[in-house]
Amino acid sequence: MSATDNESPNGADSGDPVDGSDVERCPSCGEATIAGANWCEACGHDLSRRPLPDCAACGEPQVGTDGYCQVCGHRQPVGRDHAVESHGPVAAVSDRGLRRHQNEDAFALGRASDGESGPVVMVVCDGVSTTTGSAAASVAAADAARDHLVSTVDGVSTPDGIEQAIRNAVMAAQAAATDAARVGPDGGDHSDRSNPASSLQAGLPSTTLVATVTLAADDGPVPTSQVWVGWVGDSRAYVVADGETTLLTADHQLAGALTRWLGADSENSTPDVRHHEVVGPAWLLVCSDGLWRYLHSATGEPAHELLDRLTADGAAGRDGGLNLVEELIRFANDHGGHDNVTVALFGLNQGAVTTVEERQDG
Amino acid sequence: MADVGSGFEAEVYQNEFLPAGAEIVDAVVTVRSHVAAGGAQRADAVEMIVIDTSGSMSEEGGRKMRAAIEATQAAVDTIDDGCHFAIVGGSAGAYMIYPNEGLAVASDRTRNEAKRAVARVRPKGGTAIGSWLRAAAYLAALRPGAIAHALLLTDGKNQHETPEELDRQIAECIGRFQCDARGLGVDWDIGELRRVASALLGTVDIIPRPEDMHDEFTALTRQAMGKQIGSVALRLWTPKGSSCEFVKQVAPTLENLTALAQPVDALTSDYPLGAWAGDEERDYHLRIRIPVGNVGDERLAARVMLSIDGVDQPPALVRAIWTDDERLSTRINREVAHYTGQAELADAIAQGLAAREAGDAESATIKLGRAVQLAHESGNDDTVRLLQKVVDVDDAESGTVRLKRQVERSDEMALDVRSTRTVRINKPAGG
Repeated sequence: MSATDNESPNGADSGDPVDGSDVERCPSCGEATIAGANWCEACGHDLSRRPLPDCAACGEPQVGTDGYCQVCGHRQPVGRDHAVESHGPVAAVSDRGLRRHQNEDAFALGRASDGESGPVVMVVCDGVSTTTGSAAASVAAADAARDHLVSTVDGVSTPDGIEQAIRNAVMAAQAAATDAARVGPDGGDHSDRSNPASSLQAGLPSTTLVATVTLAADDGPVPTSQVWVGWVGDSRAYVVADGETTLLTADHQLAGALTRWLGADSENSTPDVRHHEVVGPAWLLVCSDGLWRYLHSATGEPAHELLDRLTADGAAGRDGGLNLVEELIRFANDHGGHDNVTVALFGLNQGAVTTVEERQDG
Repeated sequence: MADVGSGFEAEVYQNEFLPAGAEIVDAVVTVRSHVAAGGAQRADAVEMIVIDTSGSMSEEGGRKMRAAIEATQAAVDTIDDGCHFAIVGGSAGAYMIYPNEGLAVASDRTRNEAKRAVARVRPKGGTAIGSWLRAAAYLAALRPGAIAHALLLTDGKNQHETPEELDRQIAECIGRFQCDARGLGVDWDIGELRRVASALLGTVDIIPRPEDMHDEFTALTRQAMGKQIGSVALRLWTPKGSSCEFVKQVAPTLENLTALAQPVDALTSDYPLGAWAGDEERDYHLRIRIPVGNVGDERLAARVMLSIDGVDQPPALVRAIWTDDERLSTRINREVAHYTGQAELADAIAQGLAAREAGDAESATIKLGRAVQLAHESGNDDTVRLLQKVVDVDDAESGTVRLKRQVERSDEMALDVRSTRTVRINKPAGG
């Protein structure tokens, strides 16, 4: 499970079939065709020249194999521009937004063991756009943290053990982000691919990270979840329930500049780690600043409406997560979409009353 | 780096980030050929040596004609076995010096016959360069598909033909052969030969003294023999609603190719690049005006393909990404800036010489001073040396110069005709 599993390495993703049907039909007579056939069995139409997909910008059926429209030149959306993943109560979307040319955010989801009750891991990373190669660094960091947590937290029962696992996962993520710098700018970074001689590097690849580990404890009278969150930088985690938003993280930033991040030039990549107990139905929301900057906009109003929806749907069901995530993405883009936006959402506890309480461990 | 097929690579240099509302995209495309020595079968070749035998060639006690004959003989010795060749004499009309008609196939025997034939040439008559070109076009047409090259020498102006007639003949020759044009001494017209060379994808230069002809002829013929790949075209796709502001060759010399565009379809044009040696590198500067996109949009501004003998190669991409991040949109691309500077250098020289000619010392000093400054900055040392024969340089960095009182006509012409020679940017090792 990774934000980039569906990314086409050559950027030539031609898109999903619109109708979801696997059967290819002859564009001339509409009869089903035999896979790989060059001619329609029904009407003899030449199938070797398949129509090109329509351009997302101008609508001409002319998208070339290089991922650009053959008529207007518009770049067609590819995997990471809008990456989607959904597993039951856990869903995540990472979107390029409207004003950035590429998505430097990444997420990674995982469950530490098979079955419904294993610890759930969510990681969101926000690559720093002023440095080249951050798109690669964020993916590497998110995957490394997720992989470490998934392989270590199962069976860990003590809060200290989970906190240590998160700290170790962040170290693994830091190493991965540093490696991304050594490998060099990659991951769809445009400036250096086309300007091999221009040496425009403004800094080393760097990224924020927020990771959550959630353990359900449904043996008590009220469904309860234990949530650990560790973070470096200004990506956030919230619990939303009963119209109330509880921020679980505190940004590592000073006067708008990050004070901690992951990457080769990081001076402080130590995470803060906190442990909360969430009682009753709630959403665990993990996101990049592409979303939360709009949640705390001056007017605040649309954000409230949205959070109310989260509350209403929180009780409604376990599978509504992806729709809500898409709605949050749209919300960010409707408010300008100035940055990449990544949202991961996990519906906790299907019960009656919700409380959120910070736990002081050790 | 896009490897565009058999031994050709195209590499794009640009800042693809544009500020909101911008519609101009600049890019430098480096095209590189690398055919291993002996690797590719050399194409059929036609070499034509077209020499002025008009009456003025008898001046200086016949020294010019004797030097031209010796230079032609040296050039003939440079022609590879099996290559088709001819020597054409030019006066008020064109005539065959060797062979009597058509083309000869180079061998020891034909080379010796050709050298004896050219030794018998006696100068007389006028100058009608268009008729010489017509003869070369006729000869080139005898070997369709061959790489055809002409070396054209004149010592005078095109007096026995109207400018319109010359232009008409040049137009007829486009795409039939390539032509390097050389002017001997100082009595020829740079504009005339430049028109010939530009249209026929060749170079133009001055040969100041008769004794310099031998080396120049040998070098040009050797270079022509080195061409392995014929009829290469730069195939340019631009999006609907866009226009190509210009396509220029910017290295090794400045040549504006914009007017040579041949439409392929509504969005695609071919720009002929002529024949290539197995290990050549040339730079092109493209400027495209495209429909403005929204901030965050990415659009292709151009697909640059090489069409080699009519076969398309995979494209290199020129892109436009609109951003409100000024750190990105204000980045200066070194290659684009460098060649913009080299073009300004050529313009400053042309304008400075024109002002000097018109007696406007003030403008001439400013323009030629700017030229010294630009040439110095960019490391174009050859051009600095040429400028130093026309101006006294007080301070190259600031472009402070004084016009020389006495300037050799040949130095002035050399500066003019070589003003379009550029230097390449210093690239990092392996870049």
